[in-house]
Amino acid sequence: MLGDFAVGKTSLVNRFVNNAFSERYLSTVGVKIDTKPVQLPNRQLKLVLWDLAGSEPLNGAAKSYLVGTHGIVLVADGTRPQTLDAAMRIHEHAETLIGARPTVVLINKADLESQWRTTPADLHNARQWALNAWETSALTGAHVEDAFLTLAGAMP
Amino acid sequence: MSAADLPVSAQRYLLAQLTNQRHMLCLHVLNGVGTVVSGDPAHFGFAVADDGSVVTSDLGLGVVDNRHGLQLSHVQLGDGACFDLHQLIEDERRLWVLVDVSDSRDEIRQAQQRSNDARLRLDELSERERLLHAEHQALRESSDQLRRHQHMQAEFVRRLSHEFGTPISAVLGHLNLMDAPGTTVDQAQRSLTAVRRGVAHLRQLVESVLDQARLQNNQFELHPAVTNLAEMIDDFRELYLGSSLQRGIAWRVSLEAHGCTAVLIDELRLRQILLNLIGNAFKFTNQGQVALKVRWHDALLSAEVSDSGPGMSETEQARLFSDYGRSSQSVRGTGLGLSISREIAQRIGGNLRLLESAPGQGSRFLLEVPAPIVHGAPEDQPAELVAQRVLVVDDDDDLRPLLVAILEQLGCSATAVARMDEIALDQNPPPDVAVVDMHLGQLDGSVILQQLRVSWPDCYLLALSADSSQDVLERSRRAGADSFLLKPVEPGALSLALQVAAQRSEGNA
Ligand SMILES: Nc1nc2c(ncn2[C@@H]2O[C@H](COP(=O)(O)OP(=O)(O)O)[C@@H](O)[C@H]2O)c(=O)[nH]1
Ligand SMILES: [Mg+2]
Repeated sequence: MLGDFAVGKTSLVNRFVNNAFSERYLSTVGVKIDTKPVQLPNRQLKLVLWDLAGSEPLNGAAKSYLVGTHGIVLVADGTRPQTLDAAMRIHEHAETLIGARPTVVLINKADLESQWRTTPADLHNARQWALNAWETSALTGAHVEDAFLTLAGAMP
Repeated sequence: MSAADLPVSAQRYLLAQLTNQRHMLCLHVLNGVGTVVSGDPAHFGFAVADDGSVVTSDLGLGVVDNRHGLQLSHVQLGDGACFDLHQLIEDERRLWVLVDVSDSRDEIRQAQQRSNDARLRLDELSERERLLHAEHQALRESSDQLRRHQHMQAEFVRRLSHEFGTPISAVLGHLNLMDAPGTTVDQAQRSLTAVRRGVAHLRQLVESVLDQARLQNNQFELHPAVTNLAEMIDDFRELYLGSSLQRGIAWRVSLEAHGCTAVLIDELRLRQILLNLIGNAFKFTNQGQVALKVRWHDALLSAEVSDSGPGMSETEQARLFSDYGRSSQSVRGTGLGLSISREIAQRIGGNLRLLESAPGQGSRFLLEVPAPIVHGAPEDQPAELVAQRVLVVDDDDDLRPLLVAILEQLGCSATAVARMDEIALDQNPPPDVAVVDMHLGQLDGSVILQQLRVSWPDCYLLALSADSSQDVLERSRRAGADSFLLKPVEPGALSLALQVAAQRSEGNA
C-alpha cells in the first residue's frame, strides 16, 4: 500500500480485510501487515498486505520494506489533488528501488462528493499506465474489492 | 555497531541472554515455517500450528529477502505487538529476532500524528486560500465589468442630453420666433414646419430610449397580425420617394413573394426595423442608390437593405450592433437603433446582420424573420402537390372533413384524426405533411409537434391555430413546426404552404 499519509491506505485494508471502517485517524508507524485469503476463478491465494506509513520521500529504510513486493496498491485522496501527484512521485521512486510491479490506482474518499477535486481525466490518465484505476471509498466500500481482486489476479 | 556486525558466536550469546524475556521472540525459519527458540509467538500476532510451529509466511518476508543483517523496524502483524525484526543467516539457517517496541511506536506515532495533522491543516488552509483567491478574482472581474457598464451608461446619458438638446433648442427657438412681434406668416409657416420636424425627431428619440428600456426589462410585447406584403412595400416606396428625388439618389424597391400575399407578423416591429435600416442607408448615402429587396420563401421573410454609401471599416463593423456603438459619421440618432433592431428581430425569432460592407463600397444588411403565410396562392398550379400525403390532427369535428376536402381538391391524399393516440406513428412511409391544431381540447398541440418531429424527421409540420399571439407562434416553432397556418384556413394559403413543403422535400431528396 503506497501513497501520501491520510489518504486512506489503512482504512482500505481495514475495509477489505475486516469489512470495517473507522472515522478516527490513527497514523501508521512503520508497517502494518495483514493477510486475506482470496478466491480467484481458477485459484486460491493468500494476499499479504503491507500497509506502509505514508511518508514522502521514501526514506532510506524504505527499500527493506519494499523488497519482496509482488504488486502495488497506489492510493490518493480525491479531495486533495496534491496527493495524486505525491502518489506518482512515490510510485516512481518505488520503481527505481525494486523495479516495475503490477499496480492498481485508487483515488479514495469517493463518498465525499462535495469536496471532490480530482477529475475523470485523472482516472483516465492512471488507466493509461496502471492495471486499472478506480474512485474508491473505504467508508462505503465502493470498488475496494474490485481493486484488490484485480491486483490479486495479476499476482504470479 | 549493530548486533549483526558481531561474530556469530557473540550474537548467539547475546541472544541467549535477551530472549529469556517475554518481549522478545527468537525463531529458526525454514520455508515459511518457524521453530521457536524462545519467546511467545502469539504475543507478536503469529499463528501457531498444533505441532508448535509458527506460520512465518504471514509476514510476507518469505523466500525473497535473505540478507544477513536485514532489519525492519516497527512491524505489526495483525493485532499483535509492534516489533523490530532482525534477520541473521548462518549456514543456510535463518534466525529471526523480534523485539517488542510498542512503547516507542506509540511515542513516534504521537509525534508523527501531530506533524501529519499540522500538514493536513496547512493543506486545508491553502485550499481555502485558493478558493478565496478565485472568488476574489471573480469579484474583481464583475466589478470591472460593472465599471465599464457604468462608464458606457454615463457616455450614453451624455450623448442623449446632446441628442435631445439639439431638437429642443430648435423647437424653442422657432416657438420664440413665432411669438416675436413682426413675424410674417411665411416665416411662421416655416417655423411651424421646423417645430414639427423637431418634435417628430424628439418622439423618435423617446421611442427608441423606451424600447431599449422595455427590451432590458422584458416588457417588450409582440403582436403578430395579418400583414399584407405588397401594401407594406408600397408604403416604403412612397415614404422615401420624396427624399430620394430631393437628393438625387435612386430608390429601388422590389418584392418577390412566390404567390404569398399576406403573412402573420408583428407589422409595427417589422416596419420599425426596416425604417431604421432604410433611414440609415439614406442618411449615409450621398449619391448612387438605396435598395430594399423583400422576399418571401419557405415561411421566411427576408429583407435586404443595401446602399452605395461610404461603407464601414472592420472596426466600425465590430461596434455596429453594440448599444452605444454609433458609427462615427452618423448624423443623428442615439446609436440605439441597430442594436434595438437586432434585438427585436431576435425576439420575433429571426435575425439581423450585416451581409457585407467595406470603406467606399456601401453596405448590405439582411433581415430574416419567420413569416407564416395567411393569404396567397401558388403562382402556377404546382404539379408536385399531387400525391402528397397529408395528415390532419384537429379535434374540431367540422373543420376536419373540411380540411380533408380542401386537401383532396388540391390533389393530396389526406387522412384526419382527432386525438394524439389515433396517430399511427409506425406508418411507413410517414406522411409528407402534417397539419396539427395547437389546441386539442386539454392537450397542447406542441406536444404532438414534438413527437412528430422526432418520429418523422422529414415530415413538413404545419401548426394550426386561430390564436396568432407571439406565444403560440413561439411555442409551435420551438416544438419543431416548419410553419404556421392561421384559422380560418384559406385554401390558397394552404396550397402555397403545401407547395413549400413539396419543394422542401424535393430539396431533401
Ligand atoms: N470519508 C472518508 N474518509 C476516509 C476514507 N478513507 C479514509 N478516510 C479517513 O481518512 C483518514 C485517514 O485514513 P487512513 O486510512 O489512516 O489513511 P492512511 O494514512 O493513508 O493510512 C481517517 O480519518 C479515515 O477515517 C473514505 O473512503 N472516505
Ligand atoms: Mg495508514
